Order: sequence, then structure tokens, then C-alpha cells
Amino acid sequence: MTTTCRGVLVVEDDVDVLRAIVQVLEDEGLPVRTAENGLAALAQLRDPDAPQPCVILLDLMMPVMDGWSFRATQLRDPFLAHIPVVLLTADSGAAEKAEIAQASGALRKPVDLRLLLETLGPFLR
Amino acid sequence: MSPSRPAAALPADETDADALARRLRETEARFRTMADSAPVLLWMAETDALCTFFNQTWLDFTGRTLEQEWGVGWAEGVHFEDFQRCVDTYMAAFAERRTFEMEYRLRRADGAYRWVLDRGTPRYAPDGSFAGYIGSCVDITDRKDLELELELAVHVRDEFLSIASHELRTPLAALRLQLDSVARSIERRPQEHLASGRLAASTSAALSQVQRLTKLIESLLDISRFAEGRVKLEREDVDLVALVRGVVDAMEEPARLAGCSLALSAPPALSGRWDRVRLEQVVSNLVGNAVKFGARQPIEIDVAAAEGGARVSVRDRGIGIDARDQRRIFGRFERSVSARHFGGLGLGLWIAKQIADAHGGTIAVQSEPDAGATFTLTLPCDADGGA
Repeated sequence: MTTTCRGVLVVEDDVDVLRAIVQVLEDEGLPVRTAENGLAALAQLRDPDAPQPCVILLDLMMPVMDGWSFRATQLRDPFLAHIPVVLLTADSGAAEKAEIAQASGALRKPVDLRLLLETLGPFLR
Repeated sequence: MSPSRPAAALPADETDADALARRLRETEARFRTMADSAPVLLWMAETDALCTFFNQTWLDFTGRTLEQEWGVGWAEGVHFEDFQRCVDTYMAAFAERRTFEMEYRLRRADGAYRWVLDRGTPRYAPDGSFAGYIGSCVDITDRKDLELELELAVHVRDEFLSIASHELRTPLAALRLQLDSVARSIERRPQEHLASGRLAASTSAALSQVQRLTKLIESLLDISRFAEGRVKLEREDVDLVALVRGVVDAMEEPARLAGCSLALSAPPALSGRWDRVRLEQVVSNLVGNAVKFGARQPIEIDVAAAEGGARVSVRDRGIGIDARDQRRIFGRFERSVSARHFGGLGLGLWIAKQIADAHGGTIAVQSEPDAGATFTLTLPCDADGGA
């Protein structure tokens, strides 16, 4: 974890879920940025003017570029591979998915607010 | 006993021999008649496992002669994929002199392969010695087809349930976070929370998710209603233009968020006797799809009178639909896009088609990949066309 990282990048295509997550994180005083799909997330991460997030909250099912493709691309990029990822999924098998994606955790929708904060917490010191 | 004449020359013995031969022939003939008129395929094998008898039903089925089927000739008609298993099963059972059952494809006289259930059982001579096998085959192709259909239907249902569960979890996720967040905020800063007006905003957001969920569940229930023909149209005087305008207004915000503009062109009014709620459903679905797949391009909605009826067309300039998928998308649970990228039950267009059909109308699509899609709903104006 580099000391120059900042907050959470939430990658989620559903507007309502995204807004709700943002609200929750901002209430905790955490800096939040958002992206509506994998491609938009990559663009942000590669933007030299944007601070890198300390953790990425990644939805799996999204149009244009889904969570799996994003993760694969991220892992191949030496500048981005180190950023930890927590998966968001509506399907079962969250733990298996986390393993396959080499993610630091996986949360199943509908996600428990406390669990969400507990899971992201360690990355946001 | 008189020793003067040899027994064989006696007319009495000849008559007995003739009578015996005649009775054997009659028995044989009766057996043949029975075997040949049986509605099943019958076969018999000798102790060396070679088949020496096939009834007429078998020969008619395969279109071959007894000479061709004789011995192991019959195996030439077995489908190559089933051949080895068939031979192995037969030989293994034969060696153990036990009854066997096997399913395989047998070529019919017209060249088509039919699934048959072949059941063979050992037969014994009056003295108890093993005499070979006798067996029968029945055509079970129709049953197999039904089994396959059932398997497919179960698979489609399971996939649907999985997608539905997924879809329902998304608005639930937003709802849960919203309410959790309110509870937490009240717990920590009760006065501040109430004063800031956030409570109103949170409640409104939560209600909107409830509405979303409700709509989704209604869609799910619609499948069975429509499939079982339980939907009855409630026709009333409807101004189609006003209806479409209402839908467009309701879709204004989602369209804006998705980066699509909505443009409506319509005459001042266009009336007919239709089911208002169901029509709204169809138009909402078409516009909703245009917004979802419209790739941030303008969407045009057109209402017009057409040949004793009305026509509504929704045109987007998004990802489009290829020819093969165009035929499928009106099916139940069908989508032309990958489930990994786009949520959705795949029901909307199926329901739209049911509603269009019920009105005596039609719904059709014109599209090419990356060139957008135009969906056109046509409706007859009066109640003559449908349920």
C-alpha cells in the first residue's frame, strides 16, 4: 500500500446501487470516485491527474467491459496490478470468485453496510 | 405284436408322421402369423449369438431382407455412435445368459435413425438347455424427443431463475444500503439527520427501489400469466399519442442519465380501443430497450395512423441486433446480448409480443449490428382483431 493512495474507486453500472454506495462511503468521510464499467475505470486509473485509490470495489456484471475483463487487464498492468480489489456480485459463490479473480474479498448483494465498511477498512488507513 | 410287417411301412405310422408334420407346420405358421403381425420388432438369436429370425415388422421397418439382416447383418443399421455400446451390451448379456435392455438408434427404411428400446431375453428348449435369445424393439423416438425438450425446458427455467435472482438483488442492494445508511445516520447524529432533509431524500430513494422491485416481480409473474393464456385484455378508449407521450415523459430522466435524447413525433391524437396498461408496458419496454442499448445516441419515437390501425416505432442508433438474433429475441428468456454484460430478464420483448398478438397486432424489428434498431408495433384500431 503506497502512502499516496486515496479512498475508494467504485466500479458499478447500476446507478441506484452506485449512488447508495457513494452515500455510505461519503458518510464515513471516505473519498470516493466512481466508474460505470471496466473501461471507464481503467481510463480513470491511467489518468495521471487522478490519485490512485487505496482499494477498488468492483462489480462483476457490467456492459462494455465487465469485472472479469477489467481485473485481467489490471493484473497485466505493472502500474495498476498492486491495487487491491474487492468484488461485488449478485451471484452465489462469492468466495470462489474472489479466488479466481485474486481479489482481496468478495461481497454478495444485497450487501450489509457494516460488512462493506469492515471489508474496505483495512485498505483505507 | 405281429412280426410279419416292418413298422415303418404301416399306413398308420405314416398318417401319424404326416399328422405330426402337419401340426408342426400349422404351429409354425401360427407362430409366423403372430410374429409378423405383432406391432413390435421381433428377433431371435441362436446359441452362437447370431440372429436367425426377424419378423416382418422388423424387415418392414429397416427395409432390408432377412438375408441382409441375418447373423450380424442387422448391426449395420445401428447408428455408429451407439454401435459399440450396443454390441458390448448384447455380447456381455449373452455370455451371462441374462435379460438385457438397451436403447440405440436403428436406421429406418427411409434412412432416418429412430431410437429403439431393445429388450432381449434367453430362451430355453423343453429339456431346459439354452436355445439362444429372443427379443423385441419398440420405437421410443417420440419419448426421447420429449425427454430432450423437458431437459431443455428445465435448463431454460434454471437459467431464468438464476438471472431473475440476480436482477432482483440489484434493487435490493440499493434499498438495503439506503436504509442501513439512514439507520446509521440517525443512530449517530439524530438531530442533524432529521434537520438536513436527508430523511426525505433517503425515503424517496428507497421507495423508488421498491417500485423497481415491484415492476420486476410483476414481470416475473407475467410469464406464467401469459404462457397459460390467463391474460385478458381490458379494452377502453385510449389515445395512443397521449399514452406514448406519458411513457416518454417518464423515461426522460433515465434517458438523460444514459446520455440518450428522446424525440417524439406524433399527430395531435390517435384513438382506439386497447388495453391501456398493457400498451404502456409494451411502449415502456421498447423505449427502455432503446435507452439501454442505444449507446448514448438519439432515440426517435414515431406514432402514426396506418391502414385501419395505428403504428408506434422506436428507433435507436445503438449496438443493433444481428439477423440470427432478430428471430430469437421475441422468445421467452432470450437476449441477444451476453449475460455477463447486460442484466435483464429477457422477457420484455416476449411479453410485448404476447400483448401485440392479443390485440390482433404485430411487433417487428429491423436492425443491423452497430446500426441501431427500429422496433415497430402495429395495432388494429378496433376490437375485431384479438382476444
